[in-house]
Amino acid sequence: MEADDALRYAHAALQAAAPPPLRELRERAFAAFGAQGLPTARHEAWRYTDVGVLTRQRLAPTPMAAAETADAVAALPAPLGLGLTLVDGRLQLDGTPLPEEVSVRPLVAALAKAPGLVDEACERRPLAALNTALLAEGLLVEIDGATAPPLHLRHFTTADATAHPQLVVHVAPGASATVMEEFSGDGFTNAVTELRLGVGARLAHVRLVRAGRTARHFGHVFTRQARDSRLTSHSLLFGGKLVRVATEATLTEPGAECELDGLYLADDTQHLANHTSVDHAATDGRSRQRYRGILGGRASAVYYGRVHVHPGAQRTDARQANANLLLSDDAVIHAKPELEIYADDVKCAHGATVGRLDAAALFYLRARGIPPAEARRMLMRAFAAEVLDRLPVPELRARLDDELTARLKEVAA
Amino acid sequence: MLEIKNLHVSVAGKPILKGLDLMVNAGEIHAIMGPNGSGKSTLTQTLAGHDRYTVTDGSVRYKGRDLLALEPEARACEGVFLAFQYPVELPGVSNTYFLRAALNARRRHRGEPEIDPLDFLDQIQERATLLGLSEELLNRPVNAGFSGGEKKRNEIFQLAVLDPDLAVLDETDSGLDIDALRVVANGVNATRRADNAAIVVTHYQRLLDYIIPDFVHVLADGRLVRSGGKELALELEAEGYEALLHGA
Repeated sequence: MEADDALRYAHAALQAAAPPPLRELRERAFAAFGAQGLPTARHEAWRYTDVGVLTRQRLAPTPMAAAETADAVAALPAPLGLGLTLVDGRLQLDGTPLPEEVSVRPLVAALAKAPGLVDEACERRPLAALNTALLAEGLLVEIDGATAPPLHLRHFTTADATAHPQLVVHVAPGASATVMEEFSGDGFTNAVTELRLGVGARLAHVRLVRAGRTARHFGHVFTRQARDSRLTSHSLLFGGKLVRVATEATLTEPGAECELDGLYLADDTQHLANHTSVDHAATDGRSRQRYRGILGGRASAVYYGRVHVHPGAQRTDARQANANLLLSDDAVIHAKPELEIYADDVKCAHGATVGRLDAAALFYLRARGIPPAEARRMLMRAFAAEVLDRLPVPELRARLDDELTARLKEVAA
Repeated sequence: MLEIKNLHVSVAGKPILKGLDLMVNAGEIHAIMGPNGSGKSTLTQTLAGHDRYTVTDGSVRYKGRDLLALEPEARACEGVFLAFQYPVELPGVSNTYFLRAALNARRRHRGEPEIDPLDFLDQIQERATLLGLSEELLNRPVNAGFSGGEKKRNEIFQLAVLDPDLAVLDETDSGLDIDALRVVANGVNATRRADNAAIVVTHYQRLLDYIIPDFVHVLADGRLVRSGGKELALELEAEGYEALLHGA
């Protein structure tokens, strides 16, 4: 597909005064997007998601919304730890002091000197390529230290706005950090996150989509892990009309470990798609995927999970599990766990389950006096606990537990 | 407290209880004994309100009200407690959270405010000590990964915390060793009051060495065929159900 004029114009406007490395990066990304075109239902990875949304959507970024957005942003839950707020993809400078071990700056400024900061993987995915082609600001977070406080990025996309935020996080060798990205608002978001972990680094990445009822949200997360690093990723989809998040993790060096957790709750006619892929490109890697979904109404969801063990990636230990709770006859889940193994000394397992609330458990709770609606919520909360209880930072866990409880009241209604 | 008249219950269209009569007054402990398949669990599950059991005839009045008209949760809130023969595992639901939800449900039912969290902790710790349960077990998910004995003990722990007016024990003794049996009996005896009652359903006599019943009934083919004092249990133990039922 040819990029439309609005996109071409938006891209060209950015390029006018750009320094050469940044210019070349965006040029290449725009060409990659043009060559691939928008995803269609013919692409296996997009089969279950209504791609028509993308052709009807204004993809060119909108100018940042006016003052009325300020009230909506002020109404967001308070940040935990170091708070940064982005409205329609633009960082709102509020003078939050940062500790020494955390550096935050516009990605474009850093790219002028070091174009290799953006992962080449972006160019292989049309929406990620488009995001880079339209990169106006972006955010580079560098963490160098073992005691960095949690960083909380609150993304807000105004209704009718289009935002293409890009976040690059580098965790230095031996450093450790918790980074939470939270997406809200009713607009269209096409977000890219790249996580790079140095030797022995630790990173917990929480990605929460609690967008509004009309929001469309597309997200890509690309990770690269050096030797003996450890990543835990927690992807929570609690809102939005149509949401698709693809997480592509690569264990590039031996001994790396990654855990991908996901929780998705949908009701009404929501569509929530989770795509994961873990590439074991080196020996002695360990990966876990635990995705759980609760679906009511006429909601639909996707769990498309892939583990790829490359030749030579011996002693890989990979597991993926997906469990779904369907609350209504009209809710639909497409679950597709996949293993591709090209090494012989590995331990790999995968599985997917679809079920309903356990009638025996419900009766047991009712026989103790607990009303049916509360009993159902308790069982759903218990189902979600495997993912929720593993969240880092107690305050975060408590807040998301409250959000989950509130959301379950709607989903179970 | 409880008056069962001519109770007929079917499961999946098959009649199991065929005219059961039983009167339980406050302060009494009734033992119901019977061979496998006689309808013991059907009786307990029907009292708790499981929808798999269909009452086709007869009545059950509890504290003067029609028990069968109440939903399971309302029965529990009104003071009926069933200790399950097969307690359900609830992974992801901690014992303390579960118990507090149950206690608060019945307090709301009575128009009382929710329990103070510290009072609640004091109360469950005191009951746990009574039953020799570790604090660690309180924070574990309900019954998940528990041994058979731990599950039964946990049922009696719940009974001790919820302090019901009518406790119904469904083969709580099966699969227990003597020590666990004593703990279970202690729990039941410690919560005994002049204004509450218990129905102890069992296959074996040995639990009745520790929980002394006022009445013993023999259930066979859906009816109580004999009733007597505690010596009836010993007679059953000595002679077996066959001899007793067929008057050999």
